[in-house]
Amino acid sequence: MKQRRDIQQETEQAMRSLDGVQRAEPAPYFYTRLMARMQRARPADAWERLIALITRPSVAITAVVLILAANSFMFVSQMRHSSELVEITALQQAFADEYQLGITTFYEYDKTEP
Amino acid sequence: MTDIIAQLKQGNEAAFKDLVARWQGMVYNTALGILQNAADAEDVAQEVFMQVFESVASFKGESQISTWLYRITVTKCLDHLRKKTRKKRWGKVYSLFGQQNELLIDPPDFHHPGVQLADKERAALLFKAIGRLPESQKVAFVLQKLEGLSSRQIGEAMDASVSAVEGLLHRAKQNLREQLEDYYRNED
Repeated sequence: MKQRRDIQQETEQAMRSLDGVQRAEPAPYFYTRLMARMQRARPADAWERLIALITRPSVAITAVVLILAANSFMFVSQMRHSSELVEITALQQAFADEYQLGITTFYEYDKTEP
Repeated sequence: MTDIIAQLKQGNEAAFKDLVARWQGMVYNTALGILQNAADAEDVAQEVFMQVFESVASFKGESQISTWLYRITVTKCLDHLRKKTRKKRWGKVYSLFGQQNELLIDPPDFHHPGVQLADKERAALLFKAIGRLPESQKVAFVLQKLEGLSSRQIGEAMDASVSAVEGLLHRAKQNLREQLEDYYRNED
């Protein structure tokens, strides 16, 4: 087991081990590699940029959610509309039966009257 | 220096080459200190200059170029570290289910190429301890030790006050001493 003084001494030496450290430089031809990467990263044309945008998960998921929301809205509004339509048709039918609006000619009127 | 920025804003490639040549060492050294991996540091250094090229139009010249570059480098390094930690975490989860796609072993000791030979082992130990520091303490300590920045310059790079930086450095040194003492106590 080490003495407390030795431990402190070792610790302080380790803490000072980076004093006067030289700056590290990247490997040679860094600029060449950087330019090659920039060329690779640059999309060739507008189509590629568009495809890259559309295929982003955030954009794709948002689009799917919006389409589903629009579908749901259309479905619900259609359902509401169709139930209203049935109600109106029933009322119209009752009105037509009451006043015998279905009869278009005089002869038919005779047939129905006792 | 504002000439370079003005030329860069006009899309001058020679100005960009000049900027890279002048600042590549600073960016790479900072990234290497934070990431402790040469390949990752090169990767991040390239990303930094790519962002500089793309966003130079928005640089208003309110701060020095070096401060702007330090800010981008620190942000990119921290993003890289977070991504790596996330990958490592998922790798552990996958390994539970028998899919061992990730290499889970800890990397070997990091040796900074600028450290003198006599201090090599101690510096490797110190870097290991730096790697365990919280993000902001790690960044402040690396900028001070490897780049020789003052508290004011570190504050500008980290968008923090001088007193906040001094607090970070104090806590970083305290944490490092504790880790090193623990190591030397249990060495034998």
